[in-house]
Amino acid sequence: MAHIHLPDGVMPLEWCAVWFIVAGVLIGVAMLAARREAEFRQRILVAFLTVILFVVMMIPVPSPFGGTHVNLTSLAGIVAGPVGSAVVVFIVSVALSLIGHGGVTVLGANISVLYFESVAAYVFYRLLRRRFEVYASAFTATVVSLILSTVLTSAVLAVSITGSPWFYLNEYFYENPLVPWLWVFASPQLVFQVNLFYALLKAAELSSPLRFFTVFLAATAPANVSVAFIEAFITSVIVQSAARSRPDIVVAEPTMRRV
Amino acid sequence: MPSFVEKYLPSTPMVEYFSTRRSFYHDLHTLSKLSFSMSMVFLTVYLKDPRLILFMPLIALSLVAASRLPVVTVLRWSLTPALFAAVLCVFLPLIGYPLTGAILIFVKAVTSAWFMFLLILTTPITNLARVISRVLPPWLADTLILTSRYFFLFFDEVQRMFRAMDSRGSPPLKRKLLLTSNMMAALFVRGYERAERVYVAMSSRGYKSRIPLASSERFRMRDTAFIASNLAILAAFSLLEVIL
Repeated sequence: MAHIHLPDGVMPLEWCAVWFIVAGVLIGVAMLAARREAEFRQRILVAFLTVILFVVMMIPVPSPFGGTHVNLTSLAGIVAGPVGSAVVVFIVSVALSLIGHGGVTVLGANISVLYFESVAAYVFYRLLRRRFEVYASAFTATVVSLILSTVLTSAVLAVSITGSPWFYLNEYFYENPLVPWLWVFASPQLVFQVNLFYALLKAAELSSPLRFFTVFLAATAPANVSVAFIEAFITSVIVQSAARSRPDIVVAEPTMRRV
Repeated sequence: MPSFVEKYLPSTPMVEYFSTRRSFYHDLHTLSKLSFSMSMVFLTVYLKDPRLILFMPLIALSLVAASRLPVVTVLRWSLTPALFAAVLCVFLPLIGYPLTGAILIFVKAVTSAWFMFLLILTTPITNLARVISRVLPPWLADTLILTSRYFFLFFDEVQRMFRAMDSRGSPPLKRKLLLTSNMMAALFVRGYERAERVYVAMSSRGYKSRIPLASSERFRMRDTAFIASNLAILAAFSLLEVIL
């Protein structure tokens, strides 16, 4: 697990909307490309990879920092390519959200991070395969993509949780439950302006994306990096086996032979 | 004794099992249940007032119990979202967040998961796939339906292989990891070839583009009443949120 499946409620709805737009653009572009190359055999591969990812994400893996799981999103990137893996990531995220493994409102953020992992693994694998063997290329591409996605997850959370003025405005009202009653006694406009001013002050005090990013990254990196190596090992064994026995299904293989 | 996979992968067979039970909630149309769960999740995330937020788990668990679903199993399944939420909520006080805010985020995460369990445990997967596939592009919808079919093929394959591995005893962790990865490699190629055979069988039966899914579901009067009450709940909570 190079990232956390973000649950519902961790970020305000306006940021959920932002990540939905980001994911929508990414998946939309991939869909347009997929329409061109959507032969049925590609659908089989994509559906099959989706099932594998879905199952694998539910099998816990022991790690020195507690139980976690592998993703195999990098496997999806290497085997299905950027277009196919977009569909895999989309369906897996939707299916997982139905069983509480990642939230519904944060689907956009979860899809964006998972898709980033797949594309990064695909790009690094292609680059490394020019000089290295299948196993080494798949292993390194997986480790690098998972570490990068850990950084991305921390950044997504830091921006979404600490960068929302509305959220701080609401936080301010929680901590000062009597404040809304001032509306009864004073001009609403004045009360709103005063509250907005204090809320923005509080936002400036608390809103430190860099602080959150550093704390979260430092705390999650040890577990994520250790699991990244386990995942890289599994991915490279599978890619090597597939590249030997069925090279026609590994899209990222430079010598891929379509039959 | 359940095998490793059966212990940690209770979802699909259990979902299929529970979704065939009978209750007033099971009998509702998939669209009604889907719209209810989605709107409740969005409402839970939207709410800011702690009193209103604490009402949402009560609604979710009451419906779970009323739908004759196993409350203990649902609580066990919610350990996963609870764990993810807890990992995040631990950090919030460290950056100066109020502790109550972090606790409410935790409650929202777990409650939202309960609303989704309510949907998935009362609706057959094919019905859900059919409704979702209506709003997706054709080839994506097909892939989604194929996925729901392949899941059972792959699940059989995984269970068989894990059972075979378990029956050979418990090797040291390093060896077990090697065996598991080798097994996954074999599983990948074997599973893909099995999926390909399904494709050949479908093609030979004249499959061209869209997989038709038949269903006996009808949108009835009670669904209209249910959606109306859903809208009333949304309006009431939104109003209370503004007033409180």
